This record gives sequence, C-alpha cells and structure tokens, in this order.
Amino acid sequence: MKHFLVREALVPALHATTKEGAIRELVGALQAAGYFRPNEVDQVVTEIMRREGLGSTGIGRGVAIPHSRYEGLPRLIGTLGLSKTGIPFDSIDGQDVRMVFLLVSRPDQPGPHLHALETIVRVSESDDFINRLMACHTRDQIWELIENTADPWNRE
Amino acid sequence: MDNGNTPLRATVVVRNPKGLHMRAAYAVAKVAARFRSAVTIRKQDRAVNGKSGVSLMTLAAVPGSELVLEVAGEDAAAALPVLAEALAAPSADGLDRLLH
Repeated sequence: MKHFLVREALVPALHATTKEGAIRELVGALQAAGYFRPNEVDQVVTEIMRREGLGSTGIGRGVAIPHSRYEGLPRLIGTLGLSKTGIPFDSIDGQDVRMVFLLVSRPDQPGPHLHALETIVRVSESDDFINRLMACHTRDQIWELIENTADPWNRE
Repeated sequence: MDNGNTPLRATVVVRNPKGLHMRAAYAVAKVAARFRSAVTIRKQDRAVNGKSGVSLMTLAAVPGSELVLEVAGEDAAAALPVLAEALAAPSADGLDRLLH
C-alpha cells in the first residue's frame, strides 16, 4: 500500500459524517499534499460521487474504496481516512464505514488500480490489520502500519 | 447421467479494457448467484468463489487475463455459457440482461 497511499494525505480522524463529506475531506487532503490544484477538487469529488451513484464502494467490514479515474496524474494515488464514529455508506453489509480508502487512477493504467483494489480487499480480510489500523491516532502510526504490511500480491 | 459433481470448465479472456474492476466483479458475482451451481474462478494458481464480488477483486484480472471458469452443480450446463459471457464482457454495463 505504501506504493500508492500518499503519506501526507492520510487522515487519522475524519471530521465528516457523510459519504460525500468524507470523500471531499480526503480529496482535499490529496490536494493539500500537492496532487491536485484547488480548482480541481470539485471535479474529482463529483467524479467519485458519480461512481458511487452506480453502486456503493462500501465492501463490508467497515471498509469503503471510493474511486475514480482522472487525467493528468503521474500515477495511481490514494489516501486513507479513519472515522471513529462510522459513516453511512450504503455498504453491501449495511455497516457504517470506519476506513475509507480513496483511489484516483490514471485512465490509461488499469493494472495499478486493480492491484490496489486487491491489496485493500486482502488486508481488510485480516481482523488483526483492522484492529491495528483502528487503534492508530496519528498519521505516523498509520504510515508505520502501512510500511510494515506487505502487499499481498507482491510475493517478493 | 451427469449428477453435477463433475465441474464444467471454460477458459475466458478478460476483454474489459479496465479489467475486472469493482463494478464488473460485482456484476459477474450477481450473475453467478443466479445459479445453484458452485462457481469457481481461477487465475493461475489462485481460485476464488465466483459468487463473491469482493473475492473476485482479489484476482486483479487485468485486460487480457486468462481465467478458468469452473461450474459444478445441477444447472452447470446452463450456467457455463452465461458466466463465460459475463466474464468476457467488454463492459460492466448491461450485464443485468444476463440475470434472467
């Protein structure tokens, strides 16, 4: 995950209590980290919300992976926000979301996006990972966990 | 007479230019859930339950990936071509037509 999550954009405690609010907060964090211009935030949020309209990206176990494609990025980028209270997300299991992995990919590179989805799904299957993630209170703690969690598909 | 214990197999190439992305994976799983047969989808040495969209995402099937579709059960013969079409579909849109 360290290859696509942007450390400076991690949000250990989301203020937002709605799906759109959380998405906006995370896109804003990517913008503040230098990945979008301020005037691009609305467009990225709109694209991600349009995708949510086709079916929620809440995959269950308190995890959601809102995403979209966007022209002009150097590579797939993503960030992660934690919510202590939970956010209604229309997830497949009906649970509120506490871990929001937001991905924005290059339209011409499906591979990194598919590998990111795989990685997030597979780490989320681990109760140990989820418990350790939800125990994080700072950006540094989250990053340390991410750095110490091998990408499951990377069998090096 | 085949009692459905012998799986039927087909090799399918992913033709969606975005690969088997989240919405495509869920759409395939929804079609698979329509059948009583067990549905297994393999990519190289990995095998997942074809009725689970989340599991299908763990295949990270990029465009051009070769998948082995395996169907076992009483309606396997009916399921195989429908699921092969769903997996090979160039887009996740319109797969609802395979639900009936």
